[in-house]
Amino acid sequence: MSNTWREQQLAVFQGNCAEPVVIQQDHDLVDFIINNQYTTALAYGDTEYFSRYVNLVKTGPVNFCIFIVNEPFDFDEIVKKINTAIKYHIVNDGIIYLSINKFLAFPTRYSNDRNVEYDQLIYQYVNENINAEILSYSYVKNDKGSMFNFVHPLTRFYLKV
Amino acid sequence: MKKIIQNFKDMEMSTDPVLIKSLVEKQYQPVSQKIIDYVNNLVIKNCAVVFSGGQQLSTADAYVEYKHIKDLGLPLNQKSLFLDKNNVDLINLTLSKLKVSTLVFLHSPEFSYLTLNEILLLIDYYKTHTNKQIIVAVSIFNICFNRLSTNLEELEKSVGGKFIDNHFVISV
Repeated sequence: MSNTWREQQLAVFQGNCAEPVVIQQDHDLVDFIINNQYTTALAYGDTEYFSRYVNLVKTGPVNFCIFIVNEPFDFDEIVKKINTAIKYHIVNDGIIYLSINKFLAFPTRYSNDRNVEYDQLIYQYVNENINAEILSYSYVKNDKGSMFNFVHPLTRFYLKV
Repeated sequence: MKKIIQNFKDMEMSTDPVLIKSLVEKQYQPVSQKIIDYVNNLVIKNCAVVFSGGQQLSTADAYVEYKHIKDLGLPLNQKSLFLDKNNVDLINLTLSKLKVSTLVFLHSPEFSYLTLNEILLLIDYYKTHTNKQIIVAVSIFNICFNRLSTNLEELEKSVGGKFIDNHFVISV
């Protein structure tokens, strides 16, 4: 049986630590789920780890969605999936958690805004194309691969339908 | 009570080589035949493949580079070396003994999460200190560049490299 990437990463550090270790991004989302008392979440992508904290479903109606993009992707396809979920599965005032591994995006598009930084442009793109309001946006500007982006991507949005 | 990890550089790491290997293996991108052909066309003969790994990840680095060497069909013999990138004198001494003319860097972990400018600076550093032809192939998934506003064709022209099958290949 092969371990998930998360399990492999945690195993590297667990041996030297008396308490159970958890990665910051995982801890943040679990806290959000518990504090808001979500019992069910529409789930897309790399979400299996969170099934121990919330019931993951494929269809709505739901008021919470977890969308974690952690494999090679196209930005347009992600937007289509999220907007479809908003239209058919997520109720008004529902919350979407979107986490994107920005290093796994295929560079299939370009614009004339060549001087805009990637993190800013991701925010701009999500704001203009997803049919929801951005409540918060967090990212790591100069990630050098030491903050477990490939376990749980660091580019994260909370959106409200 | 749980311990929250934000940055693995702040944590003591296990010394288990199998676990350490897995840290870099995740970012391994198989090299396609197109890249193999392209690099082999650049490398005429007398090439050495140089591993330049980090300190803690040395086992993982060597494993990743070994797989890339096999993908590219380059000979795994005494020309495949594992050297500390910071020890340029040792690199020069070893390469002079092997009488090689070309260095091939393949997805070196030190190129992970770097910008293209930083990669070019590293290439220039090796070129200046070794006077060898340098060829680099690195997965685009490990380069920090804007996927929403970068024109790959123009980028190829400006830096002189080529994007092939999700890898960026450059020869100087």
